[in-house]
Amino acid sequence: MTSSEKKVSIEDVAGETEIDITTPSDAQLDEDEAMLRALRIDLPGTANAPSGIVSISVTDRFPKREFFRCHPDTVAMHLIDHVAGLETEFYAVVPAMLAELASIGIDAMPYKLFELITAEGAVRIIPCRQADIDGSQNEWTRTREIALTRGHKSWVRIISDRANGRYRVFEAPPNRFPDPVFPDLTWGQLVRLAFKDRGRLIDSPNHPLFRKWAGRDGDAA
Amino acid sequence: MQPDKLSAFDEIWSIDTEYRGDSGNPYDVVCIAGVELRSGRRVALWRTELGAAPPFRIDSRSLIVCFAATAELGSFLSLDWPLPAKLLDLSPEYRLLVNGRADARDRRGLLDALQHYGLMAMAKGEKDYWRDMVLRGGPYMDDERTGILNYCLTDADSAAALLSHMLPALDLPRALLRSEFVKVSAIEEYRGIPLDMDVFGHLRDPATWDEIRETLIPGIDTAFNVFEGRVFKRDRFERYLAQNKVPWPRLESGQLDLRDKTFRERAKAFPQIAPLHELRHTLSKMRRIKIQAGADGRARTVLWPFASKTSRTQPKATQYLFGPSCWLRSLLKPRLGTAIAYVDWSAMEFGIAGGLSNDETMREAYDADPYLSTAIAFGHAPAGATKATHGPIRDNFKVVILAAQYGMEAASLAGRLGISTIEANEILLQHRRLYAKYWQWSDAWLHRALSSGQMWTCFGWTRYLDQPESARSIRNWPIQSHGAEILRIAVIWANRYGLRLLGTVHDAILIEAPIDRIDRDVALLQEIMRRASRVVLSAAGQEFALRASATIVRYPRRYSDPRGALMWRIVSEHLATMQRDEGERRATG
Repeated sequence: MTSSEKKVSIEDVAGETEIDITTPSDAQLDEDEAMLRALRIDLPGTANAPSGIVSISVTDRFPKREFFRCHPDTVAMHLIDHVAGLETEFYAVVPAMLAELASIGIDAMPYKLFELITAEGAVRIIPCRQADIDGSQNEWTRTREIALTRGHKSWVRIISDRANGRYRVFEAPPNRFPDPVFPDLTWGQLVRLAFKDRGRLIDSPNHPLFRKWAGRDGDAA
Repeated sequence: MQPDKLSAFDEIWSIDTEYRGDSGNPYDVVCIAGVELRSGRRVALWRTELGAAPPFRIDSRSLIVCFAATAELGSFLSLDWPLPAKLLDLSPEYRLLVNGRADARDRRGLLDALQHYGLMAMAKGEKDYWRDMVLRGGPYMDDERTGILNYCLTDADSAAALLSHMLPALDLPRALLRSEFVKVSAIEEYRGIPLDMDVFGHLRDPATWDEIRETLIPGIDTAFNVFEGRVFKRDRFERYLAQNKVPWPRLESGQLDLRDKTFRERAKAFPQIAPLHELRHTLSKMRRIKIQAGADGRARTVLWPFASKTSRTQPKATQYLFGPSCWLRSLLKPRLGTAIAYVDWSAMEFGIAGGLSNDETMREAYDADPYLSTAIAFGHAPAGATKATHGPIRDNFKVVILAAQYGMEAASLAGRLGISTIEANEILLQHRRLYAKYWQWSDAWLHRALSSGQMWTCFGWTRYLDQPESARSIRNWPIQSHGAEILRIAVIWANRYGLRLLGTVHDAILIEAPIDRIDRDVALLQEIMRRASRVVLSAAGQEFALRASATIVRYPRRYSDPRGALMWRIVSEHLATMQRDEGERRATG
């Protein structure tokens, strides 16, 4: 409908002239609404914008003195921890590269990755080393996984119990925090943001770190 | 000219009118000129030559182009001409193009637009000369008449030249929608708002108004005791605040923050402050009543659609009945047999935030009572609390919600609520936790705006960030600008169905109808407002709509805003006393 098809007469300003207004049916209003919706231009960033997260960190450090939750979905990957300065960097390894890395004496270890969110909304990925093939697992690692798994259902905080060589887990009082809202990202997207986009996915012998470990970093690429 | 964009039109007329408009009356049209862009036909007619319809086609196959079209459409309405079916107002499109650009600040007139594109424009002095001559009024000599017609034709040529240069960047479907809103604004301007002329007639008399102003201080200050004569005493106000336990923000110097906007914001959380705010505003800003009423007793002013950076309509505050002085709104009185309805969206800014971010918790809170839901979630009110049982906490959480939503600092919130910074910080953190998805969206919006240097609405209104803007302002922009989009859609839609719109007020629409029809019209408007919000706030299969509530005033009652009720009572009582005294004087000869 256009204004010309249903022209409103501008009656005398004192309002003596009656205008006949027919109440539209729901179907008419639905039709109008569809026409108006068709004029929307959903440019990025207007409504229902993506999370805006363009990078995500992978760290073995728990949030200090903060409660956190973990997304119920986890993912298993082989990682290599590489010390760079004072930081430990994690590199993901595609299955096809495991044997090649082993051939140069570098073992990628099985990890379970947890997506963690703090009560203030900080998001990170925490890798948790899995038991060796014989089932043995360091007590720190074992209690870390217990803590992260408990974070699936409760807000928890972790404290290092150095005297006993393990982590201690404290749950927040019930209803202390609302349910967490994780970014709308799949594990595939998370892995891309955390590893691939940052050059931390070893997916070929040409990866700079592989070349370095293989002693080929002086070669022309 | 790009034929593809305008191929739907047989004719494209660039038009301009000259008129005299003052004292709240409809325009006194002097002349009209038009240029048809395809054929080159030119029309320039003096008012004595004008007929019962425009001298050019105005059907849906003819596009009428103007710059700041409320003036041209106001002339159409004053001449009792039908309005064009298809209008393109280049003024909002130019504003959109330069909104926030460093070199375009406050340069948004026709001459600025022409200069922007390097087009020849009439010198400002020459333009002022002819405009002054039009405003001077007749009778005109023959050469003056020819000069005015040529001046009018020159502006029509200018708008035509501007169209050619703007067309490549013009988003025509949305531009036509924006122009339709301009058309409704012109109708609202023309209709005006009915006033109680018995009272207004006295108020606009400078001597009477001066006398009334003198009575306001003793009338209001009885409850506050903060004035000494005509002087507002800071130390007395500080004492009042302490005695009544009203927290008040302070400046860095430690002095109370006495700015008007602080009073306005405080009066929302502490309604007992409202009369003092009204009084201070009236004393400082209203040396004269600047509202103008026509001979028909209706207040009219230029509404200035798209004037703000968020595209909201921005009439001059002192000239609009719904300006900051709430007591003046009691002047609004329906005519015999009619009623007025003030229909506004409930908790609109909170609802828009929930809608745009698709935060389910926010949407659920909106569907209940956003303020109390949040207070309950934060542990400041028990489950089951209502407006009746926890009114003050609800009022406080109105402040909390808006403050937190736009990223207010803990220290500022602490000052407003009269709590410690640590407590305020905890409230802000709770907001981030409870409405985590909103914060993810808001953070992403801020990041995108700063990295791209621009932000936009889902109907294309754009703001460039050539100059630094605060993070709070950037976070607030999408809420306000999408609010403006919702309002525009509702107004356009309501007008298409013939509802008698009188004006808009931020998040409200004012309509008039015969008493026996007002309930039906309000119901239709509320449905349109609900759907308009759904058009803007629903995307990707997520449906969400805002609700609207109405205040209906039937003749002989008048509109009243609670914030201005006391002031209005004092003014009315004083006027009654004056009239009684005058009557007695006459009776005694």
